[in-house]
Amino acid sequence: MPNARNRLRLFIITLLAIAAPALSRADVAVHGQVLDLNGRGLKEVMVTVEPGPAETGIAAVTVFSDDQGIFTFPGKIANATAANLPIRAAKLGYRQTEVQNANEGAAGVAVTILMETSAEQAGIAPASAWLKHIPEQEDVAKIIMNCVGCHQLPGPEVRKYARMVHDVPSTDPAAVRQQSWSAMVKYMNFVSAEEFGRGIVGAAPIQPDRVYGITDEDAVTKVLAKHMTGDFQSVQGYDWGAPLAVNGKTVIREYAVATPNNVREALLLGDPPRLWAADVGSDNIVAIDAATGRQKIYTVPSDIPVGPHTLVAGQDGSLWVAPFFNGVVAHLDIAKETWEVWPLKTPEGGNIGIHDLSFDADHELITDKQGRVWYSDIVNNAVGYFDPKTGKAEIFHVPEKPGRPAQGAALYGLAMASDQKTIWFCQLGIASFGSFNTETLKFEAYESLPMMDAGPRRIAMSDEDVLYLALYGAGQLLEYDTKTRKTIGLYDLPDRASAPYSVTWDNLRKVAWIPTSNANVIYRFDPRDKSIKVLPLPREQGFLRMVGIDPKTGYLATSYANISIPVHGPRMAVLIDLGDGVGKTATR
Amino acid sequence: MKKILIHFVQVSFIFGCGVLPGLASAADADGATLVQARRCYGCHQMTQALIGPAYTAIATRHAANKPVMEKVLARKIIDGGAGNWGVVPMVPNEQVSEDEARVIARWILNLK
Repeated sequence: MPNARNRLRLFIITLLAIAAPALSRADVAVHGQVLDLNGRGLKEVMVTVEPGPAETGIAAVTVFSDDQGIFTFPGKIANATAANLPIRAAKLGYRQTEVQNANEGAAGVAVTILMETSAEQAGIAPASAWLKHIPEQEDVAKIIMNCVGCHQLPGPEVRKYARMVHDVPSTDPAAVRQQSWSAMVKYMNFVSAEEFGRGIVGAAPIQPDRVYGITDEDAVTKVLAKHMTGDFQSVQGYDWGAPLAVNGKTVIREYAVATPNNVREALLLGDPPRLWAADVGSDNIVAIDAATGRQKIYTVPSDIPVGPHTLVAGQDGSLWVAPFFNGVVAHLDIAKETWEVWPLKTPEGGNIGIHDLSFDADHELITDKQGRVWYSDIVNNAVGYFDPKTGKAEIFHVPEKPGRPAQGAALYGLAMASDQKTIWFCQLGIASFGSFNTETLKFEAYESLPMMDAGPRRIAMSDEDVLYLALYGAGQLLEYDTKTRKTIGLYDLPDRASAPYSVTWDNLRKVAWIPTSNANVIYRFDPRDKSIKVLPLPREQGFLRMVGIDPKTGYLATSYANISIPVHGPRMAVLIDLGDGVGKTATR
Repeated sequence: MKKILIHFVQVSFIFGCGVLPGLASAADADGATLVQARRCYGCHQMTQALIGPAYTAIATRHAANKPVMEKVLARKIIDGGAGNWGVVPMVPNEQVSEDEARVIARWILNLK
């Protein structure tokens, strides 16, 4: 039966030919080296494997090269071969010129990446790099405080508009800029009003005329028209401004969250560890398995829309959820998957607009000695408490601060001292901070920062009751001793246009972490020697807000929180293994 | 920006910034619906100039050349740019699809 045998042979050969490429695509180990064009190893190069747009799960993994330029990815990269490995490298001052992959069989894929020096930094440097030329910090603060609350500036969309303005043929470009940026500020005020007003039951549509006359409009327009010059095609000369807080074992994992989402902030909880991400655009909390990227949605059971905004870990490993400026507080027992929800009102039936819940040096929820949870109330410029046992709530209005406007205080961050008696708060709109005694129910300390646009947002308390305030507009960190009520120091961050959104005390490392909204980095401040280091993140428009420290693994959890609809930037959860040996390794 | 945010926070309860309700396709949405959904009315009104020209003014200017202008206007909606109505560039609207832009352009041109 020679013909039959031949047909069988042909069939097997054909089958192998079809199957071979598929069989060769497997999970492979990936390692390699980054070299400059002189053959020297390049250190601290960000090397990323990103298989492609992901619906959910691990979207990308990033490692850094060591002193010899050598890098190693943890575990294996799924469905990869030497021929199709989606790898890229980035380093300020360099550009990637060539990638050579070699299949080493069982050892995986060895990658050699060549980079050459490059003055051009567009696409690598963050949005803040385009503001570095502005000498007046007041002007930078005006831009940050009025624009970067919702999007990076200048992000790609803004740069595109700036180029259009630049390209308008005119004998008076300054006048063109003034008119154009005035129009843009008006439009953005409209977008902001419409976006933040969405969800108001029975609200009338936003009328553009109504939001065109914002008080700051002229000042913001003037600053933008003055500084947003040029065609925004090139940026050079940016540097991180401090040593990097990375090494050859640092790993950054980015997790895609099912769209649409408005991921706001994230923290790590549970065993095995899961990233818990608040979706402010819904009533959902997304739980992401850190190792696999698999996700599960938990919906806050509330008749009133919540918009999960603030996440705080409970002392027992549970999850507390505060809303987007209304009065609903929720608690999830993540082991039993059971919720408790408190829709809060004042004793008079008034509304409460919760922003932050009281937490301690471990960033875990802490109550006063009566078991009451304290919160900042951004709507009423007040602090308040609620009793989880009874649901009773009360608020206490902050008195007017002499020399500061009576309106627009925006009471924002809140933390509790270790005495479980004193809470500290800050006011974003009037650059002030102070304390409240939860036993006497009296306001005590009350300080103001010199710059009105300093912009203190989310604050943190150390285990020694040192208060840290990240100053969004000023681009600084304030270190304040709550025991002596004296400022220890006011420190310029390496990039003062970085828009530091928050500060988190790291009780394992005894340092403070300061994520930025405009610079794609997290700063690390060490209070022992006042040094600052930089942890760069691999994604353009990585609009950062909060950072959580996992007390078991030492990992940092954060998110790219582009919540504004017109912004095309990422909305992802992010997990960072610093590779510094602190905490036990969980996923590497 | 922050002040308008704070203003709205102070006057009302805010539930979050959800995503624009999706429109299944351009075919099932007329221009009037799309200009609302895609926020065109932040800069344009029906009969009065706001940041940009009134819809009726655009229709009047291009009334004699509708077939060509439908394509041109659709491109302008997505890419933005200056030149026709003064020096202020129009904001790019990359979230508007090609099909949606054509529907909007046709709707504007048919106002005259």
